[in-house]
Amino acid sequence: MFAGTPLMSLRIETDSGTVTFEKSATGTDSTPVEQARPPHSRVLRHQSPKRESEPGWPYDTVNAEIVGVFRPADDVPLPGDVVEENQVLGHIEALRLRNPVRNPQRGAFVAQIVEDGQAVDFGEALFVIDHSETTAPGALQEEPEALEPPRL
Amino acid sequence: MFEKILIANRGEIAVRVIRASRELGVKTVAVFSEADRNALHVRMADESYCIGPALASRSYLNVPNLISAAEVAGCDAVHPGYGFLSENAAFAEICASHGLKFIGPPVKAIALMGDKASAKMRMQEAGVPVIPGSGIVESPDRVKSFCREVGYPVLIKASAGGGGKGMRVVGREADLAKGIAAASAEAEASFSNGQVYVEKLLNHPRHIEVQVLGDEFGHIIHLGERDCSVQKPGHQKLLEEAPAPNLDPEVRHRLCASAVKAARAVDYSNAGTLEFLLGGDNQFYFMEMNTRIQVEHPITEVVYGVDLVAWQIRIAAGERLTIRQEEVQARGHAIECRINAENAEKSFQPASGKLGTVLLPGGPGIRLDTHIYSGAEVPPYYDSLLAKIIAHSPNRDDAIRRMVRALAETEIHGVATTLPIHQKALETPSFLEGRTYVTWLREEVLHPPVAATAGAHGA
Repeated sequence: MFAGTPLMSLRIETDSGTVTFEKSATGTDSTPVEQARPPHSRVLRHQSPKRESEPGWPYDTVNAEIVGVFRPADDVPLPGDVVEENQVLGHIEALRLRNPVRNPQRGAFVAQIVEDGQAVDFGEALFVIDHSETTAPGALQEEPEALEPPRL
Repeated sequence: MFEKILIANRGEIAVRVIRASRELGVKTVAVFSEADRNALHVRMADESYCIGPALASRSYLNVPNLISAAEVAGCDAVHPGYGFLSENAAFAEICASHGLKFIGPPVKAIALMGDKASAKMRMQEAGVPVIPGSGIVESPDRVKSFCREVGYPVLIKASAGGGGKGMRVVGREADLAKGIAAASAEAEASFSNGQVYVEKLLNHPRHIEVQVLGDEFGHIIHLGERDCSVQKPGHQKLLEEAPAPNLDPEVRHRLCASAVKAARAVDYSNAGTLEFLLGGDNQFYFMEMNTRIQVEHPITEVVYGVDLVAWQIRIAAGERLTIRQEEVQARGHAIECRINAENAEKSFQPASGKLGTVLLPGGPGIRLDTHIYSGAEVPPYYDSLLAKIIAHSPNRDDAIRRMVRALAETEIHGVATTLPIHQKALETPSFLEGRTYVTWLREEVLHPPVAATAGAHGA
């Protein structure tokens, strides 16, 4: 309901906070200073929304781990429904396999933000879940990254 | 012709493939890691897909995500660029099994040439000269005749070797037994395998390579040679030129003929490069074949007026190569300088970070292949190549002057680059005379300042 629309940003507000999604190709860097752009900027046909958090946001997104075509679960929760840890919220079809998208921890369902049949890429936000009652925000951990050896 | 190509790469080569595709009227799909979200190839392509986190092993080498992106986007072909999956026979096979044409040579040729021992054997069978070797040494006395035949000095190498361990140079027969014993003991200690063999040692050889191009109907031509002798310690090319200076026309003819013979021997098609070492005695020896487009392909393109990347795509799409060998004619001289984010003063340690102002050269005879721009990020995860400056002139002296001018115009702020070392190399008298060899940069340009730290580099 987002990437396929002409909307450039989507803001979800509730009593406990807000979360905003913006289309990535339009320049939503975390530091949106006047960064020089090459002259080739163009509107991409495939554009994935990039998650943009705001101070004090209580939401987490469930993101695509693989590239493929998104299919929601038959029984998609309604906003406000409690979703359990490991509950399957949908699938990503890739290489003729259906890969389940699971909710990482118990919380309240807020929104599904991609359409049935939409192509999604790595890291693309699929669902918004309110985890504020179960854990503190910002628990996402980056894996340590090692350098690649030179390749030529 | 293809409808849409997925480019399984990043950086300047992804940009290069997009340019060739656009000129052929083919749509392009870029893939990128989370570290490359703002990369130029992503902006230039018609579509783009994020395929994983920054680490190459989880993004640019992530075969399932690459294939899935190609399927989702409706691609009919994949261009692998260089590095990453470009010489991975299994990837080429997977592409084929998903109905994607791999823009490159046949899987069999990639697999055969990817195995150094089998490649050497096949080349020997085809009559292409390879560096003479003794086979495993059983006793020093038995290799004496081999050493006399190829002439001293010879190099003793550990069969299980690598990293210089178990290697000894022997200058005369009297030292042979001692050298073999020492190398064998070192090999035993390092690899629990004391087997050694003896190879002819080339004294200050040059690295000369030949570009070949073939279609899928058996028509194979060469597009002359490139001299890639200016290398960083560790055999990484830094500056290349075409044609090779001071090359005897008769040797050139034999080299190019050998390259075509080698390509035919493995039923090669698409673009490929045969790398040779050329000794001072004008004898050359096959080293390896690169079954992909090379970084330094632009110097061949400007000298021969041929778009190699466009031909790669056209040949993969089933077109016939319409260039006949007799039409292949070198025009002028070209030099390429690889501008890397590296500090030559510190053993070419890679640099990364956000670029400041970037001013790139232009004007007559200058070609620039790059993906950088002012404010671009240089992530630490990938190859450090920033830009390739190519100078083309009617003769070598003019090409050198043109390159010196272009380097002086270039400004890249924010990271250390190889600009200064190129400037130093281009004014070194032995370079001006066209007398370089594979260890030339270390011996005549870096030395003495870097010699003291050279030991720390090899690890």
